[in-house]
Amino acid sequence: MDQAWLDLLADNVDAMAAGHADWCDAPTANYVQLRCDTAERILQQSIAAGLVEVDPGSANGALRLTSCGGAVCHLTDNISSLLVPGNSLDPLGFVIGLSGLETAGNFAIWRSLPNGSTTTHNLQPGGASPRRAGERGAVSLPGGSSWNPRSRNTFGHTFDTHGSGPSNTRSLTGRAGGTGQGQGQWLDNAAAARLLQSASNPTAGPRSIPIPPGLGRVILPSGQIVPATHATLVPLPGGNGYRTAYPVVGGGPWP
Amino acid sequence: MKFSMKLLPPLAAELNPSFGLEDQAPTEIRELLFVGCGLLDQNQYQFVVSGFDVTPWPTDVRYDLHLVLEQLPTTLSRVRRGQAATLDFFGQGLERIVDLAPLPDSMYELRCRSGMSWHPTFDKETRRGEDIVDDMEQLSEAFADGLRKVSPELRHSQALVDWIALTAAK
Repeated sequence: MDQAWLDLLADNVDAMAAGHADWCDAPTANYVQLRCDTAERILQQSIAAGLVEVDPGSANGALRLTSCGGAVCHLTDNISSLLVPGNSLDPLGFVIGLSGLETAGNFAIWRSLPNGSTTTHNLQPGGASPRRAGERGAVSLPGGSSWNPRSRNTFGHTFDTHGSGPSNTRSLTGRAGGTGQGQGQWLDNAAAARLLQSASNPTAGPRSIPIPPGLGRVILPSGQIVPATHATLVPLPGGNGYRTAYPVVGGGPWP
Repeated sequence: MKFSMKLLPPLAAELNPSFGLEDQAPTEIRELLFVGCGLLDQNQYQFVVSGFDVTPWPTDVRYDLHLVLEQLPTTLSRVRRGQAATLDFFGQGLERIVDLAPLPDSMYELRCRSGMSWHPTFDKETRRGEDIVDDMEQLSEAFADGLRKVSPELRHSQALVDWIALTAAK
């Protein structure tokens, strides 16, 4: 499943959980019956990703969760066991609860469960249809954190724009002049990835950490290059990984 | 100057269509955004952002457009629904956030927060929600249009089709 679609899915599901049920059709306080193009696309992507499938035993073509093949996926009735602090369930920070995915009425009911919650959630808030085996549970979408520095899902812009290499050096030199602000560059992507993995904390916000000598440098607006002493980390909201992370001189504004 | 984001093609220079992507043609949207912004940057496209009495912001195509486009589907979706949204210009040296908060009568209040010592002269603006949506849709379309021009190989790629569908999703 394309990460960009997952992002939109996560946001939509989050909006529902937050009670923003004022779009699409037949909203209630707790869930939304999706009949719009977005829902259709999400379901198509979910089917393509192997998360749901048409139930061959259903006369009306109801959808059901799959066992997810070899993907990182949990399917269980006892979802509370998955919702303990520290569980790395998916890069989005959500467990997606799929409840009564029915095509009979051309709608689906989705509800999100915040990662880290210890509350047992009702996966069928509307109580609209009886759940059947294979149609309920919690699913962690495939694609857990990979700490390979080439993983954009984990490291965001960290190495695309601040990684080692002459192309990034040229780009960052131009950007330093354009913004009037120093630009950090990692000198060893693999070592930086290991450092960032060890510093990963899904509950922490943007912050600064010290880095070993020789791991990064900062290109100043003048073109001068100086060694970096710290790194600014901008984590993914609610997930394992980073939107970006770059070397700086000094600890920066973050605690 | 109201907050706006535009992707501008080069004024006079001829475009230099890029070939040779066969081995690295993006299949996912994030890859498409990364590769696409790099190609547009090579062709002297400009990402012009202004607002909060600052014109222009020190943005560039390769870095800042890329990260804004990544946020665009979600932000668009939220504003279309009349919900609060944010655009985070978290690139090093820019580090500012635009919060979009819904007001009555389909209006939005935009606030700019800086994560640096720089602060906007005016940190608050109001705009019509549909104008914000129009701007973001035009930015998405300008990206797709630019890609079609600078990369014949990407013109019919599934990732580009998906990008258009994603930002059109209502």
